[in-house]
Amino acid sequence: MKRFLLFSACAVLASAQSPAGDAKHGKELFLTYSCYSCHSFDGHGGAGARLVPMPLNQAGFTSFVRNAGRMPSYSSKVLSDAQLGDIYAYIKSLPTSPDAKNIPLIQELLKEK
Amino acid sequence: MSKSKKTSVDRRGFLKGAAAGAAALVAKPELANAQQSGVPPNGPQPIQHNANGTAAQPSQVALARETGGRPEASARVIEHPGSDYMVDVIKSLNIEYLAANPGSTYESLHESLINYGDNKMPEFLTVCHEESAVAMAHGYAKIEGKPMMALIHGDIGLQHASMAIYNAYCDRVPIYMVVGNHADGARRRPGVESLHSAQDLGALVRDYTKWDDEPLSLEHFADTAVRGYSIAMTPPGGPVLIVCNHELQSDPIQGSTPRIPKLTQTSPPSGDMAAVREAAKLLIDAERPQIIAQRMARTPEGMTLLVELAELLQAPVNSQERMNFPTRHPLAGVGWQGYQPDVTLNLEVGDILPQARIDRARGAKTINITAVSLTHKSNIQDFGHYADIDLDIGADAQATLPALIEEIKKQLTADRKRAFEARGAKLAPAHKLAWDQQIEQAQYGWDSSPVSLARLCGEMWPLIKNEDWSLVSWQGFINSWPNRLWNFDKHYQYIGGQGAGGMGYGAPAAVGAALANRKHGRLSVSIQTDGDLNYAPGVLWTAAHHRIPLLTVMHNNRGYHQEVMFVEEQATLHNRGADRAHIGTKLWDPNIDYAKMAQAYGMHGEGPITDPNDLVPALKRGLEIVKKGEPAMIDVVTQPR
Repeated sequence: MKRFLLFSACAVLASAQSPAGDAKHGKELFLTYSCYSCHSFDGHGGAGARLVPMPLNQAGFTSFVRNAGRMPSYSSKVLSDAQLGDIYAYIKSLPTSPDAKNIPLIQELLKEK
Repeated sequence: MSKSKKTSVDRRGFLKGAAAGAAALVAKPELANAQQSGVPPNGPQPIQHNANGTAAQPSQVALARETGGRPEASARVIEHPGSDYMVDVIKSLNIEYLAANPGSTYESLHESLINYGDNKMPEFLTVCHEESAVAMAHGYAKIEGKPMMALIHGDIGLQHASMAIYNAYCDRVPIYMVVGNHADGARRRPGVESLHSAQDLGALVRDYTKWDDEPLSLEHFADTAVRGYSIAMTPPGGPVLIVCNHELQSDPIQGSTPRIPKLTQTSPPSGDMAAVREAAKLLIDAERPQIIAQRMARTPEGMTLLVELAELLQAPVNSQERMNFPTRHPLAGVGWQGYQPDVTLNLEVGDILPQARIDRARGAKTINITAVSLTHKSNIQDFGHYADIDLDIGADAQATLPALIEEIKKQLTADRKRAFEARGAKLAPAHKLAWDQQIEQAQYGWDSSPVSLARLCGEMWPLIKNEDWSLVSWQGFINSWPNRLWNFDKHYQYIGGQGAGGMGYGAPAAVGAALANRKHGRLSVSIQTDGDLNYAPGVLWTAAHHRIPLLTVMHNNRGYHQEVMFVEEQATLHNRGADRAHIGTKLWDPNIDYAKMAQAYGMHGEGPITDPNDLVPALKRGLEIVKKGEPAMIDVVTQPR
């Protein structure tokens, strides 16, 4: 997570804006390359980190995927920058979860002793 | 021999190929068939092989017997077979159930159990695979705290059972196994009886059984049977195997009936008092102690003792593997943020090395109490690693806790007691904070389809929390969401994992645990992974047939998900794409319809559920059936983890 945040900070400083990706193609890649296996089909995490909402810009995201920490790193030979851009666009399109405050069951659980 | 007629047909092999023609064949006169085959009707019937090595069509006599044809009337009657006496011995052990897949090596004992023994104590449960029999016994023992019996057919059944035996061995769980054999080569017929027998049958699983024996007389059987039970139950528990020769079962009892020895249960080993005093001193002097408990609480008393110890020390308890400590106790967890333990008390921890390394790196002391240190074997590496720790007590942790608690009370000063209270005052809010954060994390993916595991477990909780419930499945593949959302405060509310990580354990262990829960009127629920179920799904039929109430909720992520991640990681390590990680790891194309599977085995099944809003109505329908005493399954298509 620290590494993730570090890249997040770097990404904020990154000035170059990447072209917008193709979210539809990104979804195909997200499934084909098993991103879902750690991050869930909805990007809300599981064995891996939550991707939604995505805190990085595209350059930061690409940089992270190339030099990931606990997560396996993906080289440009495996996934091009353009493909990562498409995956990034797909992740950005995924809906966020409702807030815990608006989920009655979670609120009930919080009240239990 | 108890029967005048024996045939030599592979009972599991031939039926598939030969059943179609069986009816016509058995209609033919036996003598004529025998003449055609050149083998006398009462003689051994060797398996015929084709040139390609496959089994040829069995003889007519063999087919007649195996397809329901009536064997010739026996030339003699055995009024008092040895197997009747064996039943008397087994009954003396108060074993409630035995699970078995039928086999001829124990046919005499089988008949004695159901007729002479009236199919009570133990009651015969039919299973479709020996692995299911042993894993059922595994789950049963975790709830009931005592062994169930698995009756196993010769070397073929024992090899089927072997993985479940290994799981139970590594999980330190008592299992009582009896396996049939044809030991006497002079009486053993060629063919199946030879193929299903062994010179040293126990050797097949000796590396991961606690003890085995092959009694040669009925007196010997009695000693072995009673002793085996005691050994299985003595901590650390484990599976024991009694090889029960066919001749001993089927020969008549000669002379007077041998005495049945009474069961004398060996007391568990308790820690040496000098070492216990030293442990007490280390724990009292510690500023930030922690307790790690794995296979510690063998019984509900173990939980009570651990709560007493934790409250006495005001130390956090990190409970793993078993139901050792109430999940919502203020001392449950790993302490406040940044809590750096200076003494770790490990109770029945499987491999001490990882914690010892952490402790050493921060200058902390490590105490270990485990009875496993007393029972090492050589081959299987389940005993983990050596670690140079500060205090290693070779004793059963639960049995040692009373002495440790007393010693701490004796050494405790008023100053230290005040320090403990101050620590406890900081730990309680830290626990509450961590608990609330865990619950709030359930929001992520709450509305997603496939269904998130947090949502699945969250929706289950209100439906069961007012019942006397028991989770009879492992939480390792479901991110421990029940632990994070439910309130576990009773020993029987969780059975833990496989022991050795062997898949195929989950479904039968759940059925076995639900069987144990049945007489207590508890509601058993299982969150069942799809990969595990497909090893031996026939246990669903066992649950339906024997009316074992169990709600199975499928965690159907359509694959061996852990392995998807592993293959993906390897692909990236090799600088290749993970786009083929699904090969060999996924269970799709076609998707498996678990609702239909459940229905096929005779239980209520519905699904697949993909919309989380459909969960609660389906769960309620399933629970209604389970509360009536039947099993039910709800198939939920889930996020990977």
